[in-house]
Amino acid sequence: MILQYEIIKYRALAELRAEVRRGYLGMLWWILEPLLYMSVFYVLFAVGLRRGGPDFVPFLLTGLVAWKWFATSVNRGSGVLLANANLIRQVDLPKYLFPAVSLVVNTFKFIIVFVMLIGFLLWYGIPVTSSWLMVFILISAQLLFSAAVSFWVAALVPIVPDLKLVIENCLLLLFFVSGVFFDMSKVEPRVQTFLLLNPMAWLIDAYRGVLLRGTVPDIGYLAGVITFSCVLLYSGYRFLCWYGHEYPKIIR
Amino acid sequence: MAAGRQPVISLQNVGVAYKVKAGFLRRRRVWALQDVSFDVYEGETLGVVGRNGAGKSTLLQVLTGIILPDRGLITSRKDCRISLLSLQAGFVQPLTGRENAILSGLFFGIRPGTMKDMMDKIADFSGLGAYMDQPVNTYSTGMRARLGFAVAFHADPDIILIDEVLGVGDQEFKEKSEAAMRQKISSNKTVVIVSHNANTILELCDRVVWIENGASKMVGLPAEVVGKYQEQIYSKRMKNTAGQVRQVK
Repeated sequence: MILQYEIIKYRALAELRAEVRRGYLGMLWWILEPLLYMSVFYVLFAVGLRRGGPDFVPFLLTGLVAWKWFATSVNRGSGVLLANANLIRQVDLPKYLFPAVSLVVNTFKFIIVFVMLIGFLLWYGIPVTSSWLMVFILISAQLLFSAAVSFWVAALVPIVPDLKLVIENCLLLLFFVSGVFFDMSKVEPRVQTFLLLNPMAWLIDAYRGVLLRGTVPDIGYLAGVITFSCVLLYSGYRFLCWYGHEYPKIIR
Repeated sequence: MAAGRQPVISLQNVGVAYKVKAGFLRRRRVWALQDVSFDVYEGETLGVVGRNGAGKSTLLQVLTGIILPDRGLITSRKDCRISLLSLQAGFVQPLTGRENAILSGLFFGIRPGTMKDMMDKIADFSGLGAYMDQPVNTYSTGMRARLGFAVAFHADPDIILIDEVLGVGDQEFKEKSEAAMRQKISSNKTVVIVSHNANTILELCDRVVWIENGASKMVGLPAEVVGKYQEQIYSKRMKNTAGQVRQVK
């Protein structure tokens, strides 16, 4: 068990180091890449489409930062066993290690971006309230949810490779309905109830509430997201263990 | 040589099937291993011969525990570290030799601390010198193999499975690794070697298993089994005579 922890730690470190050494700009990319990503949307929505109105930029960025962490985790998770095919065919390792490593790497990068976001909000003049502390709970809930989804996609994509395309398009759809660039509270109540079945839509709204509006998120829903994520995560973990010895045969 | 001892790994009628796509939404099972039975005894060096596609690599994966048999039974002793001596498994290209050695060590069940203590020996054995601090993607194929072999050798699993490894690197390192292997083999280490090179098998092994069309066709002393194996290769008639499994102890 301790060894598995070491494997996750050293593999994650290795991936981050490898990324740094690959490009000319190295570590700068951890800051530049999200900046580029967000400026694309900023240009599109704030300048191009002239949407939003006052305080649209902090509103948009908060949503984008949370969304990007989730989307990257799921995307990486869906390809992670295939990316490690060589290793899987030569060493008998618990398969959950692979999505776990990729999640640690993504979370590390998210933390950098999140700190940047907080810096931006302070600079923008958003008042710091005690509700900001809730953000740690929201991050933990999202970490659980992302882990759960990426365990499952990592487990299923090698079995049914066609799913990769389905997942990519689902992510695109989710991006549009998660409220990254619209305000959930302004949606018609019936539609809103429906949209909030998606934990990411709720989480994005909760981040905004906590950071921008100074409101405390609905504890009942939060508990629901955490419970749901835990069940999904544990079942994904069990599935990866149960099916673990089949992957070396189907991945090539 | 192995008589009277307890087997460390025992295979009984092991079969492994791969699922192959057979049209829209349909999968077909292809049996890479049909019916393999033999024992591996502690301290012996067991050779596995067979032509390409006979199922040798799948067999090694079963022995390592990477895949489980779809039929038949495999039993191995508890708390036994079985490792495929896979060269450069999971090397991360932009990282240095040293960093990769630590990563590889983890897959053999060696803690990073222990690996760091052994680093001088590994650097020395691999003969890579200053290259240990260079990224692995600047290495030649032979150098990568050297590093992989050095790590695997020092990780020292209880049972080593080798897939055609004795042709690693240049002449100098080949001799060195062969000598090291021989030392392991003579030091009562359990070794399984897969090769289609009859000479390697004859020279190193105590017993030999011949795999043909996914079945263990013959188990016995090296001279006997390799003799029959070569006989069949040289006789142009490749008639399928699988199924006559003979146990020789």
